[in-house]
Amino acid sequence: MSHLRLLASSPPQVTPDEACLEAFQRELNYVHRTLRRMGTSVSEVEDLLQDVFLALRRSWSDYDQRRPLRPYLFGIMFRLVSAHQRKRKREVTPGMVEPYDNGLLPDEVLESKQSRAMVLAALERIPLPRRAVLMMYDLDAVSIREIASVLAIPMFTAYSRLRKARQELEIALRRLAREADVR
Amino acid sequence: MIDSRRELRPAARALLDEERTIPALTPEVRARAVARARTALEVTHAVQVLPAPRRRVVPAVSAAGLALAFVATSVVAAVTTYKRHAPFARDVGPVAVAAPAASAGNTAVSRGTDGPELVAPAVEREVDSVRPRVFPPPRLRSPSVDRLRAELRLLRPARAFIARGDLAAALLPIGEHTHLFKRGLLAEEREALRVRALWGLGRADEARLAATSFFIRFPRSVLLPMVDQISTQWR
Repeated sequence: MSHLRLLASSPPQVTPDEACLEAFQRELNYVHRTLRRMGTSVSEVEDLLQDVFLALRRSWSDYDQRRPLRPYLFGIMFRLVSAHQRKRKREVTPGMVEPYDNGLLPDEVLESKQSRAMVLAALERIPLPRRAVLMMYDLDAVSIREIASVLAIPMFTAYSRLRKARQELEIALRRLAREADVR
Repeated sequence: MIDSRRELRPAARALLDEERTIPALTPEVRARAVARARTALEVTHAVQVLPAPRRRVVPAVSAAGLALAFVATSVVAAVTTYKRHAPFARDVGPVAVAAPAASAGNTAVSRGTDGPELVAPAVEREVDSVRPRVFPPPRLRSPSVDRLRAELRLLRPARAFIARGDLAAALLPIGEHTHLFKRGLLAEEREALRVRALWGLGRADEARLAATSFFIRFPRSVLLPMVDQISTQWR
């Protein structure tokens, strides 16, 4: 006598490509904003988005999926933006102005009256290694231990960078407020 | 341990708190990023599917083998020669090697003694120097990825011009991209930008034509809603 058993169909297998793309789409807003906070210009941010995706796909097999994705993505972005800035420093001579770098878009100019643009402008005045620690700790609420691990620096360095970055942020905000008053 | 609340002044803290909420991207930017990511996946997948570059490996292996055989023969010859003259070399020291005639009389005295012990370190060093070094595998650079980057560079100004509202200027890089990469990896994005620029310039007939060709060519595009939204304006 034969018995028919109903078996639950196995869930569809998600390929690494699909999983990576799905994760990227989920965190797209965060990636875009973080790249802007790191000082990437509007004209370059979309190209860097693409680079972030490529780097994420390449290292997807190394990523421990039980851990939060954002610090991992931050590490990728930090390295990419650092490399990008180094490259730009080499390529752009002081007299040269990038023809298509328009800085802020019109809606962002309007936004500049608001706090967000002010924070972006203030962040831009902090060197990237310190800015990264400040962004992770004060904006993304990542622990110092995780920051040290993602940025591959000792915890003591992370603490000192955070302290210095906060001082620089306050100075920058004060200066920006003063400049706005003068205008 | 640093107290995060105490370090920043309340005004700065308030600004950071506001910045903490992440604004949503515009549908257009999002669609473009996703379209590019998909294209990149297709490109990288195509690169992985490509067969291993055998033509390069085989000559490299055979050349390395030949070189090794040559070096091994040279080493053996060197060792044999050295063994033959080893006692002489030991007696006169390294300086005398350059002038063998001066110490020719000592040759017979020490021949047949512990020559190989003197030879061994030198040979080892020589063998070490010719031992094949293990190089890391070369980083694969696919022409498709390079091409994608070139296309991205070309379309960047087009996007910037459109964002600035300079639509006529945007058509220049779009045309250049069409000229260089007619069926390029970012043709989808280019055509969507073209529809937008043409419509913005009031060239409705051309925009309509471009939109129709976009619908036919990319029926499953993630940029379809954007083009569709533009095209609904003239319906």
